[in-house]
Amino acid sequence: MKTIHENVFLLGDADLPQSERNQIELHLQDCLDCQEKFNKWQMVAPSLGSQASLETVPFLVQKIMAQVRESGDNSAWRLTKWAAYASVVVILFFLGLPQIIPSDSNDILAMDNEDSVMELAMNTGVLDDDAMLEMTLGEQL
Amino acid sequence: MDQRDTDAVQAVLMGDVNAFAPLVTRYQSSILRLCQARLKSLARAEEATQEVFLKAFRSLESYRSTASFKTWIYRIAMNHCIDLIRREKLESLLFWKKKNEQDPISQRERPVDLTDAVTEGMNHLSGEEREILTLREIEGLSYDELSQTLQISLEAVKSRLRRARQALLSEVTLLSKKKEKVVA
Repeated sequence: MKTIHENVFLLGDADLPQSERNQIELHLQDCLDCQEKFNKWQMVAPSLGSQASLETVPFLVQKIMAQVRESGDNSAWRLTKWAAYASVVVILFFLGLPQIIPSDSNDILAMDNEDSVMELAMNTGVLDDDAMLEMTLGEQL
Repeated sequence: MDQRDTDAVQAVLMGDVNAFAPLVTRYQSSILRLCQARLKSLARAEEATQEVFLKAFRSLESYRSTASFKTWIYRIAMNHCIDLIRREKLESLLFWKKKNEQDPISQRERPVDLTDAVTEGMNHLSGEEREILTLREIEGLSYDELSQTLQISLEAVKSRLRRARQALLSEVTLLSKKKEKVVA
């Protein structure tokens, strides 16, 4: 029963189902309290609607669009930058690949110990004599 | 669903940043009012509105055109305001700040007419009540749109709306009685 008293606040809503509207209207015929509440609400509601035009902020659209454009520029620049980095990495990878991959697949099978790996590195040009000397000295120290 | 909104969103996603401007023009007042209803200050609402649009622009790819752009951006605004309020509450707890958030309107001694009483009454409601009244009475959202925006059931929409309207009416009645006393 309490809900029907409260539902009086929904009576003015166009999207209230017809069955509920009928119920409230029926109740209103007998309830003076609800009639008063409904009438008061009918007076208050238009004032609430008029709040829409109370306050405005000048140049708000311009301020927002300035930030949006800046954000758009930044993300475009970020995208370009990452695309450039990715391209460089891909190019370097393909340029370096023939030097790293052994020309003969049998060489891979031969890599059963550290010496053969070193030898392969020397043969394929990945390490030169100086680099080998440095590595050997490093191990001895 | 507004076709103009969908077209604008598509254009922005294709790289035309300026196509976002009509969306800002169309919804800036609504978002400002919604933020003001939650944050109770025009200055904070203005700042929040700018942040809401920026957030919407950055996450436009996640917007699905099956939903209305209006309810989508309203939801961003509401969540943003809730975040701001949470952050401020946390800050005030951390720094033991005593906040005085009274709006100039609520500092007035007494309302002049019904519109003023309603404005002042709104300031006395909870954030949730102000939010649903703003969305319904000022922005004109339907029950369905309210349900989508607030992500609650239709029954919950009606219940929240009933409570908010009743609370506002009580506030306005109380303020009018105070005014009568002052005049007497």
